[in-house]
Amino acid sequence: MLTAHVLAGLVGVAGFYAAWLYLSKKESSLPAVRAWLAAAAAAIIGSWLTGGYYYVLYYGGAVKPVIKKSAFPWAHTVFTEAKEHVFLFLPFIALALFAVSFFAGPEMIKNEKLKRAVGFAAFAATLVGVAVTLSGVIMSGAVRK
Amino acid sequence: MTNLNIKKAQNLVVGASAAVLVVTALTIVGELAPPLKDFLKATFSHHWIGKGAVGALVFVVVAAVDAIIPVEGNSDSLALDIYILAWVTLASFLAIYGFFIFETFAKP
Repeated sequence: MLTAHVLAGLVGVAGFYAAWLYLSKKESSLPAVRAWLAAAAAAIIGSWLTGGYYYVLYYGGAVKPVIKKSAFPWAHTVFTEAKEHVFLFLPFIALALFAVSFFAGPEMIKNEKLKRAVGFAAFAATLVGVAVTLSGVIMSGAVRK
Repeated sequence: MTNLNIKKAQNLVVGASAAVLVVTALTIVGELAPPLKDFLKATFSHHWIGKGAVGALVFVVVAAVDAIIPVEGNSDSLALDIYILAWVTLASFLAIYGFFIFETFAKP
């Protein structure tokens, strides 16, 4: 379940990044942007569900005590706590951006102002996704120590 | 491109901004006021599930209310709403990480 959570999350972040890249081009491909934002939305929701399952049923009893007793107890209080809550809002952003590409796609490609706005939002989602991913890496490191 | 389609996109963008803000508020207030966290745990079996459920509800309700408001969608206002969503996301991300860093390292 944890592996599924991580892989789905990585696909989600890749989707945001790819959408930003495509929207940064002078001539953007609407099918490509739509596909990447759809992939991001599906993957982030999948990561949300698998991560939630792991967190609610397993992390609290089996992993959190290990981290808290390790040399890095702050890994839980900072990175787990922050990550688990920031991650809660990624699906809404993913769905909103996909909705823009789906309902207002042609306008998004044609209208420079709108295209830059969606590109910026995809970039912001990428940054947040990378930060959440790195937080997960830190948590894993704390478990191993 | 019909304004109706732009309006649909706008509804969901506005809903997403509201959901992000509510999740951030629930997160920080929940840590400062344990009864709120306890309420979410008692109602939803886990505080994290509760925050997600409330966030989802806010997303749907705000999008629906925005859809009812008789204002036509247009590209300029959609672009503004998307920028707001992006900045709300970044600010909320900083607020949550900042809060937990403060709680862990700086709180007296």
